[in-house]
Amino acid sequence: MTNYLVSLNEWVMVPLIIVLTLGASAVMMWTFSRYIRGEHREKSGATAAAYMTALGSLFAILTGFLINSEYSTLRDTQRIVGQEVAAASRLAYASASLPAADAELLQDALAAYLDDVQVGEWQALGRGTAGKSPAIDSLRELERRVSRLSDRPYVRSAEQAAIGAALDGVTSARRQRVVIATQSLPIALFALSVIAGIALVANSLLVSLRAGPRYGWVALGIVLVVALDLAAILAISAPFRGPFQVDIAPVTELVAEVRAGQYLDWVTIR
Amino acid sequence: MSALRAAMLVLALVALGGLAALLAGCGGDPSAQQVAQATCARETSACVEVGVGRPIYLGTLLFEEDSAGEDSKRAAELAIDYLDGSFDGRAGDLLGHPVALLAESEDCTPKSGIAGAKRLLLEPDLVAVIGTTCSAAAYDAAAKVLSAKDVLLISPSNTSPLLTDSKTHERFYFRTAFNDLIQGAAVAAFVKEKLGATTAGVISVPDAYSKTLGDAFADRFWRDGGRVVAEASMALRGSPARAVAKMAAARPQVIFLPTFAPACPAAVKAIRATPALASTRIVVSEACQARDALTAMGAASDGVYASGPDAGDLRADDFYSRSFIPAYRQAYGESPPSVFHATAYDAANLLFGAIRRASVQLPGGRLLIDRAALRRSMLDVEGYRGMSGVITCVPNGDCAQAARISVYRAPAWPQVRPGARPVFSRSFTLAEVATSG
Repeated sequence: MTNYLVSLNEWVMVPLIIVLTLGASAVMMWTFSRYIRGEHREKSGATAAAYMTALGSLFAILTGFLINSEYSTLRDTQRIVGQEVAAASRLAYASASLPAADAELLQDALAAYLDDVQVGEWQALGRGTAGKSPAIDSLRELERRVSRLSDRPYVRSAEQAAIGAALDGVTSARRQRVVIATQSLPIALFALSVIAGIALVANSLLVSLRAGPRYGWVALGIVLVVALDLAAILAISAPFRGPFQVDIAPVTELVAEVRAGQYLDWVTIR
Repeated sequence: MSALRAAMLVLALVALGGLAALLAGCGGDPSAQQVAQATCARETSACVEVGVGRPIYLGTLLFEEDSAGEDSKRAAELAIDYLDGSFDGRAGDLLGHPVALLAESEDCTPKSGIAGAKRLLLEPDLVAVIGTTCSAAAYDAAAKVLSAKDVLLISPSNTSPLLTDSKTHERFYFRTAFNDLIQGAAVAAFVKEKLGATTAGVISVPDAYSKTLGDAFADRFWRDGGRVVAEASMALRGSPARAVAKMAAARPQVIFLPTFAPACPAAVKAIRATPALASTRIVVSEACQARDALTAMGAASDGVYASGPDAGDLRADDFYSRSFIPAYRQAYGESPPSVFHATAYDAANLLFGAIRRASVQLPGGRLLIDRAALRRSMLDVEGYRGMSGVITCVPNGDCAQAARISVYRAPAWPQVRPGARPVFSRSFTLAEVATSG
C-alpha cells in the first residue's frame, strides 16, 4: 500500500490521503454520534479534551521524526548525486591531459554513462530494479577504458592516478545511491504515526461533538493537518519516485557539458 | 459562511498558482534536441538521421594508387579501429553506431575529384569525407561538389594555398595538412641559407598544388634575394624533356620539383641524365617524399633533397612511436610509406570529435547530425594536440596554423630510414608567411 502511495504524484497523492482521512473521520463521526449520546457524550468529550495535548504531542513527535529522517535521506541522496557529478567532472578534467584521441574516447564513455544514469537508471531505481539499469553496462565500459590506460606506455602515472581516483569517486557514489534506493520507509514507525493520527482525529471529533457543530471547523483543521502530515512523509520517503525526488539536473547539465566538449581544452565554447 | 468563502479563495489562489506554473513550464528554452529536430524538419538534407544500429557513413576520396593516398587511408582506418580504445583490428563505434567507410579514388585531376565526390554523394546519409590526396582533385572540384551539399571535406594532404584562400575557399572544406606558403618559405630558406644558392629553377605540373607551391617558393626566394632563372611546366604523366631542356639552358644552381609521382621521379632522372645540369642540386616537395618515388628514381635519387613535415617531431610523440607505428606495422606489414598518415589520423579524429559534439541523441538510440552544426564544431577546435602537431581550425579551412618543415637528403629519407636526420629544419606560422607575402 505504501509502495503504491509513494509512487503517486503530488496532485493525486495529497487529495487521495485527504479524502481517505476525511472518509475515516466521517465514519468515526457517524459512529460517535450514533452510539455516544447524552451524558456519555459530555463525559467522553471532556475526557478526550484532556488527552488532546498528549495525543497531539505523540503524533507531532512521531511524524516529526519520520519527516526529519526521510528528509535527511533525501538530502543525503542529493549530496551523493552531487559527489558523483563532482567525481565525474574531475574525471573529465583529468582525461583532458591524455592524447586527444584517448581523451575524447574516455569522455565519450563518461557521457554515455551519465546519459544512461539520467535516462534509465533513475527510473530503474524508482522501480526498485537497480540491477536492470543500463548504466551498469556503460559504467563497465568506462571502467574498461580507464583500466586500459595502464597498458599505455605514453600515459604518465600521475595522470593514471588522477583518472583512477576520479572513477573510484563515481563508482562509490553510484553504489551509495543504489543502496539508498533500496531502503524504504520504516513501516512500523509509519503505522504508529497513522494510529496516532487516527487517535488524534477521533479525539478531536469527540471534543467537537461535545462542543457543538460550530466547533466542527477545529476538528476539520486537525483532520487536514493529520492528512497533510502523513502525505508529507510519504511524499519525501522515496528519493527516486513520487513527488519529492532527488534533482537530476546536475547530471543532465554535466552530460550536456561533456557532449559539448567543455572539458576538452582544445574546444572553444562560443 | 465566511470560512467557506475563505476556503474558496484559497482554492482559487492554488488554481491560479498551478496555471502560472504550467505556463512558466511551457515558456522555457527549447532543448538542443528540439532545436535540431526543428531545423532538420524544415530541411531534411541539412541533417543526417542515423537509425538504431545503422552506421555513420564517412567517405574517403584519396589517390589510392599513390603512397600518400594509401598512407592516408590506412591512418583513417586505424582511427576507426581506435574508436574502441585500442588498436585491436576491430572497428570501434561512434556514439553507439558503427562507422562505415565508403572509399573512392582520385588520380590528382579535378575530373577524378568531381567524379569521386559525386559517387560518394550517391549515399544520401554521407556525413563527411576524408580527402583528397591531391590539391588538384579538391580545388574547384571535390571541395566545390561536396560543399554544395554541405558535406565536410577534410584533407590530410592538400597543401595548395588556393584551397584556403578567402576568395576561393569552399565553406565545408578543411585540411590538417600545412599550407604550402609555409613549405615554400622553408624551401626558399633552405636553398638560400643551407645550399648558398642564388639562382633556382622550378619545374611544376599545371595543377592547383604544383603551380602554387612553385609560386610560393619563387616569391619567397625572390624576396630572400635569390633569382628564379627558369620556370617550366610538364604533364603529370608526360615527358620532362622540354622542361629539363629549359633548365639546362638557364643552368640554375638548384631545381625545385613541387610535383607528385610519376612526374617527380621522371624529372629527377632526366635532370641527372643532362650533363649541363650535373652540378645542379635537386629539391623535391613532400608529394614526392615517398618510398615508391625514391625507388622509381633509382640511382638518380642519390643526393636529392626532399622537403616535408619533420619526422623527428612525430617520433618524439610517445603515442605515435609506441602505439600508432607498431599498430600500423602490424596491420599493414610495413612502416608508413609517406608523410601523411599523421595528418590523416588527426583528420579522422577531428571529424569524430566534431560528430560527437554536433550530434543530438534521440530517444531509442537514433542520432541526428546537423551538417551546419558539424561545420561549426570543426571551427570550435583550438589548440588540439594532434599527432601531426597543434591544430586550430579557422573559417578559411586551415587547421595547421604552424609547421616545421625539414629537408632530408636521399637516401636518408625518413620513409626508408626511420631514424633519418634532416639536413635543414625551419618552423613558420601561417601568420608569418601570409603577412610577409
